[in-house]
Amino acid sequence: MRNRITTIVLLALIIPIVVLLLLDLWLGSVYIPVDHFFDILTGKSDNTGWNYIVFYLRLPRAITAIITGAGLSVAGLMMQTLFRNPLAGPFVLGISSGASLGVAVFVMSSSIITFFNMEIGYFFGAGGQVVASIFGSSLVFLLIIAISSKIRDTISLLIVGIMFGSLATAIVSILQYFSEPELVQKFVIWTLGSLSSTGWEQLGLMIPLVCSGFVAAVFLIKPMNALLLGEENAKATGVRIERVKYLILISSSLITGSLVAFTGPIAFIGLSVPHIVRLLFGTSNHRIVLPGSILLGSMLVTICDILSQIPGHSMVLPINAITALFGAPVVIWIIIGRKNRKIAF
Amino acid sequence: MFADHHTHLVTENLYLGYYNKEGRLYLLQKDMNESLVEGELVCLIGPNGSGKSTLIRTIAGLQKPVGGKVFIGSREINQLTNTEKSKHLSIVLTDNAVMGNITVSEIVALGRYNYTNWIGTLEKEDRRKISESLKKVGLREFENRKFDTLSDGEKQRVFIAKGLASDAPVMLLDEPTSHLDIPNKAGILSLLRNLAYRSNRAVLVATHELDLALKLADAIWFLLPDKSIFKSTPEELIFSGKLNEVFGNELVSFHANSGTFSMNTEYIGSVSLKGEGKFLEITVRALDRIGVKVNLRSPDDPVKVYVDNDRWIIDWKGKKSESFFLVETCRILRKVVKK
Amino acid sequence: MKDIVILFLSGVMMFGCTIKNSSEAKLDKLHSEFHEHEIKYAKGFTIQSAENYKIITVFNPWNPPDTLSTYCVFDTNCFQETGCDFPVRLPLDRVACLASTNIAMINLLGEGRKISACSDAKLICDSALYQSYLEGSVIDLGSTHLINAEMVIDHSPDLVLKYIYGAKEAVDEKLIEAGLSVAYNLEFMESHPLGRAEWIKFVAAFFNKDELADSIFSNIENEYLKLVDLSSMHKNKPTVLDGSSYKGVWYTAGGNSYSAKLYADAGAEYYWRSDSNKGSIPVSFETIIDKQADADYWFGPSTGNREDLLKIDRRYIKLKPFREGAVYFFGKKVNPHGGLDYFESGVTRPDIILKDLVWVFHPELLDSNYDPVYLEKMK
Repeated sequence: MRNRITTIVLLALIIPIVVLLLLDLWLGSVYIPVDHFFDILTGKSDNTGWNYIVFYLRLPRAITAIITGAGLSVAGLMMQTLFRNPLAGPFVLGISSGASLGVAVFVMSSSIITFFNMEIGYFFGAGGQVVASIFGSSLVFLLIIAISSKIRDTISLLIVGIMFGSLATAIVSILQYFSEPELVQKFVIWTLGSLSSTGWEQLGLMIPLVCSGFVAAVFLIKPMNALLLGEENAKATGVRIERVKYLILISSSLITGSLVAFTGPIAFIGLSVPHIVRLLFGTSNHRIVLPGSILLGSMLVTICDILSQIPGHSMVLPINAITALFGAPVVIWIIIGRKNRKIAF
Repeated sequence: MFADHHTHLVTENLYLGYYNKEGRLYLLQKDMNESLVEGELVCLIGPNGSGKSTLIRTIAGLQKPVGGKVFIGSREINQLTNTEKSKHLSIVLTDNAVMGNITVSEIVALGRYNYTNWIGTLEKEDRRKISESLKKVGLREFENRKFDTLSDGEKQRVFIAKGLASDAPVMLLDEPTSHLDIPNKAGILSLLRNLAYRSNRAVLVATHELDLALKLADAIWFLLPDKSIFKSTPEELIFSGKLNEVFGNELVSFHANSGTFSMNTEYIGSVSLKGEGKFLEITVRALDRIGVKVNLRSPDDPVKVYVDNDRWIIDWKGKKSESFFLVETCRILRKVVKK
Repeated sequence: MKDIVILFLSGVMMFGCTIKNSSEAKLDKLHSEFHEHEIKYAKGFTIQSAENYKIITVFNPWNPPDTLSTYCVFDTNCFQETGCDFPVRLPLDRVACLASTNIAMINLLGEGRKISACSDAKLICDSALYQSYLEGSVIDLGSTHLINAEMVIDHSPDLVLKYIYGAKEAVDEKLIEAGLSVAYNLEFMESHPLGRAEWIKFVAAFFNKDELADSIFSNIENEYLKLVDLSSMHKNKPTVLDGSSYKGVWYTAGGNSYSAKLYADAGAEYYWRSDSNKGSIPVSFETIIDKQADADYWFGPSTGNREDLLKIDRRYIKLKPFREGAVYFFGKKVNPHGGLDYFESGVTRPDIILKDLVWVFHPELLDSNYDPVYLEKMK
C-alpha cells in the first residue's frame, strides 16, 4: 500500500517536469507572447527567428537541464552510498577537477600546447573544450581505477580522490596565473557552468552516455541497498563487493565526466538532491531514492535554468550561482521543517 | 540412525592467522578439524586475540585461511561464488550500523538477496519468509518500524532474522551480544538455541559470555593459547580445569562446583559476626566483598558485628556504633578492620 | 584524417573562388583575375576584389597560416560559386557591432547609423552611439564575453562583428547555425599599432567603402610615420615603465607588444623591448624595483589618482616616476560608466596615441598648446 502511494507520487512528478519544460521554453531573454508561443510549438508560426530560438536554442538547453539535473543527482547518490558519506557528491573523486584541468590546458596554455589546442579547436570548434574536458576527466578516472585495485579500503579511495582533485586544481591555478587575462576569463566562464552550450549534435552524444549510466544505476539498486548495511554485511549478504564498487565508480564517473564536458561543473545538485529525496520520501531505499533523484534533480535544474535566464534581460546569470543560491536554502528549509523527525542519513 | 545428523560445515587442517605489514605470519590456531552439525548451538570462546573472530570470518569466507580448507555441504568454501556461499551460511557481525532510513522489513528482505530478481522484487514466498523470520525472533510487530528507532537488542535480532530469512543452514555470529545489557544477552543466546533446535540450523557463536554459554551451548569450542582447540560439552569443560588454566589469574578463578568465576579476594582482616534474620546472609556476602573474613563461631575477634533485622551494631574494642544502613556499616568496617 | 580536412578546405579556398559554374560563366569572363587590396601592416586579413564581389579572408593568428573564416561580399548573388563561409549581401542596413574597436572605424567611414546593436553598451565611449543606446534605438546584446545568442538571433542583423579568442565558442556556432554572417574582428592580435588601425579597411570592405578607408588610413599612416621620424631624431630616449601591480605580480607589456612598439616609436626606451611576448608578461615587483625603479615615466597604472594608487599598493612609492609625478594614465577620455576610449577609438587612431606619447617624452617636438587626447597625468 505504501509502495503504491510512493509509485504514484513518483509518476506524478513527471507532470511538473513537463510544465517546467514548457516554462523554460517560453521564458528567455527574448520575449515571446504566450499565444504565439503555442503557435510555435504546434508549427503554425512563420517567425523564423523565434522558431529557431525555441527549437534550436531553448529546447536543447531545456533538455540539457533535465539530463544534467538527473545525471548529477544519480551520480551524487551513488557516491554517497558507496562511501557511506552524506557529504559526498559526484565530484568527490576529482572527476570535475580533472575536466577543469583539461579545459584549462586547452584554453589557457601557450606555445607548444597551443599548437595542439588549435588543431583540436580547428577540428572540433567549440567541441574542442568538450574533448579537452573528457580527456582530463578520463585521466583522473583511470588513476582512480588503478588506485582502487591497490587500495581496498573505500575511505582511503575517497581521500585519494579528493587529493587528485586538489592537485588538478592547483595546476589550474598556476595556469591561470601565467595566462593572458582574456583567456583566463574564457576559462573562468567555463567554470561557471552553462546549460546553453549544447546543441542537438552534442545532445546526441551526451544523452546516450548519461543514459547508459542510468541503466547501470538501476541494476545497482539492489546491491546499493545492501551497501547501506556496510561493506562487510553487504558481502555477507551475497553482494559481489569488488564488482559492485567498480560498477559504481565507472557509471558515476561516466555520467559526471560526460555532463561536465558539455556543461562545465555545476555544483550543489549532486550533493543535495539525494538528501532532499531521502528527506521528502522518508527512506533510504534506492528503489525509491533513485527514481526520485532523477525526477527531482531534473526539476531543480530546470527551475534554476529558468531563473538564470532573467526573462526580458540580455544578461544571463551563471547556472552555478543559481543552483547554489537556490538549492542551499531549500535543503536548510527541509531540514528545519522536519526537525522533529529523524533526519535520514 | 540416531546419529544421522546432517553435518553442514567441516574444516580440514585449518590454520588461522594473519600476515602483518612486513609479511610475517602470526599464527592463531593450527590444524583445526572441526565440524558443525545442524540442530546444535556451538559457542566459541577463548581469551582476547585467540582467533575467535578470525575463525568465524574464515569459515564465512570473509578471510582466506593461512592454510587448510573449509568445506560447506561438500564443496570448498572458497570455490563458491559469493551468491552460493550466502545460500549456505549467514553471518551476523558485532557492529550493525546501518546508514540511512530503512525499515526492519527492508533489512530482513536483504536476507532474500540471493533469491530475488535483479531489482530485488519480493515474491509471495519471500514475504512469507520475512514475516516468519521476524516472528521467530519475536519482532513480528516491528515489520514496518524504522530500524534506527529500535533498541540495540532489537537491532541485533533484526540481523538474526535477516540471517534466518536467507534459509542458510549454517548461522555464524561474531560476538553479537557485546554491547547489550544482561537480559538482552540472555535473550539473544537463548533465541539462538531455539533457532538451532526448532529451525534446525547449525549455529556457531563467538562470544565472551562464558556463563551463558556454559548454560546454553550444546558444545563449546575453546581456543587455547597453545594454538589448539578444546572441544567438549559445557559440563566436561567445567570439570576439566581448563577454564581456570586459561582464564584464572591472581584476581579471578573458576570454580567448578558453582560453574562460575569468582574474585580471589585478599582479606584485610576478620570480624566475628553474629545475628539472625534475612540480613545475615546479605551481610556475610557484603563482608566477603569488602575483604573481611567472617568468623561465625568464634567471638574473640577485636571487631564484632551484630546484625539484627533492621540494624547493625559494631563493637570495636569496646566501643559500640550502630547503623541502619549496610553501606555505612561497610565503610566503618573498612576503616576499622586490620589484619 | 585531419590533414585531409585541411587539405580539402585549402583546396576549396584556393580553387573555390574560381570554380566556374555554367550560369555564372558569363560574369566570370568579365574578370579573370582578382585584384588584391594593399594591406601594409596588418597580417590578419586579406581582401580580394572581383568586379561584382569581394572575398575577405581572416586568418587564424593562433595557428597560421590557417584561415579562420572567409566572407563573400556582394551586390548580386554569386555566393555559391565562391565557396566562402559567409555571404554578406550589400548594402548593409543593420550591423550588430559587438567589437567596440570597430565603432570608431565605422564612424570614420560615415556608416555609424547602421549600427543597430552592440555589446557592453554601458561602456561605449562614442557619444552618438551611447545616446542611441540610451534612447533605445540601439540594443545591448550582452557582455563581450557572454553574448546573448537568443537576442542576436532575434535581432537578426545583416552582419555581426565580433571578437574571438582562440577556438570558436558555442555562441559562434549557434549564430552561424542560425544563418547569420559573423565577421571576426581580430585587430587586437596585431602587434603593430598601424596594423591594428589598418583593420579599418576590413570593416570598410563590408560597406563597399574601400577607397575611403584607404585614404583615411593613409592619413593616419602618414601622421604616424612623421612622428616616428621626428622622435627618432632625438638622441635622448627617456625610459618607460609600463603596467601595474596586481596581487603582488606586475603585469608589464611584452617586448613584441603593441604598447612596446608605441613607446619605441615615440622615442622612448623600453626595458623589455628584447622580450618576444606579444601580450603582457608577469614579472615580480622585486624585478621591477630592481630594474626599473628609476624609470623616467610610468604608463598604464590602473587609475589616475595618486591616493588611490597608494591604496592599491603602497610600494608604488618606491618608484621614481611615482614620486615625481611622472605617471600617465590613458583615462582622459571616458564614458560615464568608466569605459576608456583609449581602448575604443584609440585603436583606430594610433597616430593620436603616438602624439600623446611624444607630448610626454619630447614635448618640444610638438605644438606648444597640444592637448593630449587620451593621456592624462596622475593627479
